[in-house]
Amino acid sequence: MLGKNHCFKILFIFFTLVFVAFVSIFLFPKIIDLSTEKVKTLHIIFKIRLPQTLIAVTVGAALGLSGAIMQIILGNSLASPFTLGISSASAFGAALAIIAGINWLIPEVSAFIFSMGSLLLLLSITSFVGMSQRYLILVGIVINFFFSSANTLIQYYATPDAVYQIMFWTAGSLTNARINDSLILLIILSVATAISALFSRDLGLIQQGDKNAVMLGVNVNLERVILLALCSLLTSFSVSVVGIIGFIGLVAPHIARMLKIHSPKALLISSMLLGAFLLVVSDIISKTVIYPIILPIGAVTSFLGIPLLLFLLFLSRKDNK
Amino acid sequence: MKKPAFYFMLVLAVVSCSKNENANVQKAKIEVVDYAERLVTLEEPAKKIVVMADNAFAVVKQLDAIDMVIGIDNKTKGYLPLSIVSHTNPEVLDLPDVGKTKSPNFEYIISLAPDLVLLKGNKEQADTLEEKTGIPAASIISIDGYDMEIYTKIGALLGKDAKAKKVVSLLERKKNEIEERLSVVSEENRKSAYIIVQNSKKSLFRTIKSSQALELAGVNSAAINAQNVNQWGFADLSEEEMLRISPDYVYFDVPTSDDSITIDDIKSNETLQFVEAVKQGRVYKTHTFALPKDYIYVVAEAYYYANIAYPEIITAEVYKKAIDEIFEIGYGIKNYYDAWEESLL
Repeated sequence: MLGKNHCFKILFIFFTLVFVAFVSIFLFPKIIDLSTEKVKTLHIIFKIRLPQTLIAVTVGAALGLSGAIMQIILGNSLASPFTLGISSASAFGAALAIIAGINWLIPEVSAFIFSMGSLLLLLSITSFVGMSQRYLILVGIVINFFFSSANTLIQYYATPDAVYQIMFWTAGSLTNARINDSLILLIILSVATAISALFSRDLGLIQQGDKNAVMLGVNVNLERVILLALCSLLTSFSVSVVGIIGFIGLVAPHIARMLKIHSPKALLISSMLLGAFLLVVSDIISKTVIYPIILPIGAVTSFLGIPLLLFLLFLSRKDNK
Repeated sequence: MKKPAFYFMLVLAVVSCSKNENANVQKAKIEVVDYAERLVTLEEPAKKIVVMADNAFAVVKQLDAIDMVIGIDNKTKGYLPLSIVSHTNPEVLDLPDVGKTKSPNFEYIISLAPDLVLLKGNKEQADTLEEKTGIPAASIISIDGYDMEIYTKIGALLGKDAKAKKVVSLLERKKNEIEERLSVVSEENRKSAYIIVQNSKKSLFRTIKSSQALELAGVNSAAINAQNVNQWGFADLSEEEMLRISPDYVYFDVPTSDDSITIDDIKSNETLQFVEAVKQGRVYKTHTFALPKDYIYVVAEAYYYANIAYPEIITAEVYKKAIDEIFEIGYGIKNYYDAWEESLL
């Protein structure tokens, strides 16, 4: 059960998210002009703004949730959904599809296949060397470097147009999203939330150390594999729809902790909501700052997340004093 | 009594005829298969268009439809200062920017209310654009070779079929003319040229493997056997390779900024000083290869190269006449030869 204090904080974040999402739909990048013809207004709301806001909410939530899970199971506050090489594998998959120009292999599908492949690779290697937090991170870094180098290599031989497409894809974009994408992600997210809630007690034990969790009857390795697969699924699907959006998965759990939310269940839910909130705000910024140009969302999340994290660190330091 | 009855019948006939005409007009939809094999259907020729295809912008101008353009994409806008269209129609510099082709601002496009969007993108991108904006979108992608269909497709969509035919006819005629004149040049007597492209940040060894204009001018590309070539045809030569090839002429893109390669950069380069063409001063400017392909320029440059390589065949008179004719029909500029030559000094 969530404590009263946590419930209040989570509800506050939830209502703030709902408010910001409505503001995003009706006010940004321009206030919806209700004096124009109704069909046009409805088209703008339902074909452009709603899909974009919905995908921001679902992708942000997916990244926030997987960030929180990763930080707990890897016992590392620097872990994020992209720590284990998922982003570089998906970027490589997308780049390969763009360069190969095969009709049936669209970048989104290829990105998904490669990111899931990177997880299989990670699990295969760690099944030999051991599935401790340390080895998972080290092997993840190796996979990350491997796919980054492979990506650099294929871009070296790509056409300028292909390089431009790859760069664009990796910068992330919410503009082309459709409502169906959000609905699929919402289903995956609901299942992932339910599963992670089921494991929340065990996550609390893992948070206190592997040995302690094992002594209390937790099958740490099995749960780690299940939760890693869950994170990879969430991240892979998000990346395949909108490209690489960094920082959300890293910063959302930190903001939750700075709001003094520490119990695993509350941390997972609040990270999810904060991830969604951050991405909706980033989306508003990306489409407003130099209107009508839409800035790459991946860059905006970093520019927004970095000062936010530093500010919260500064606040928490003040509190500790 | 007969007269009013006659007039009544006459009015009735005229009205019914005009009604039939309208009915015919309504039936005569415009249907064009675009470059993504999609059927683009318009009720009538587009009057207001957004061009999100750098390769289509010059074509739109050449079809006398530049006044129809009400918005362009970010990349096309970036090319504008280098394009001749910014001189013939300076108002294009103020055209609104609708964003990147891969991430357009759909709402902004809707607010401009165009009848058609010309998009340099694949089927998925064109379908997404149509779905998000509710505005017909035609995929316009460059294909290899002399793609004269780009004129007929865009011409049909904009109701400029006659002008499209005129431009295509001009290009084919001038192309045939130069080919016919140069047919007397045997394979072994063909000259060769090395082109330094400007998009290389002072790299004098980035070139193009082949060029349509050079081929049409009967001039071999000195870099035809280059190994390190990307799919766009840009080749990076090593300095040793550069010394092995021995071009009769060296061309470089017209400098467009302070960072551009200049003739002094070429003359003072330690490696290029060993190249005979540089030693002999056979270094000339050419129009930029960094710009999207424009067939008017391809054919005009062919006459320019041929006049330098084979002046006894493509004489100054033939060359001048070709430039004047090509730019008058293509860009609506009369007697362009002097300005053309000046731009190459």
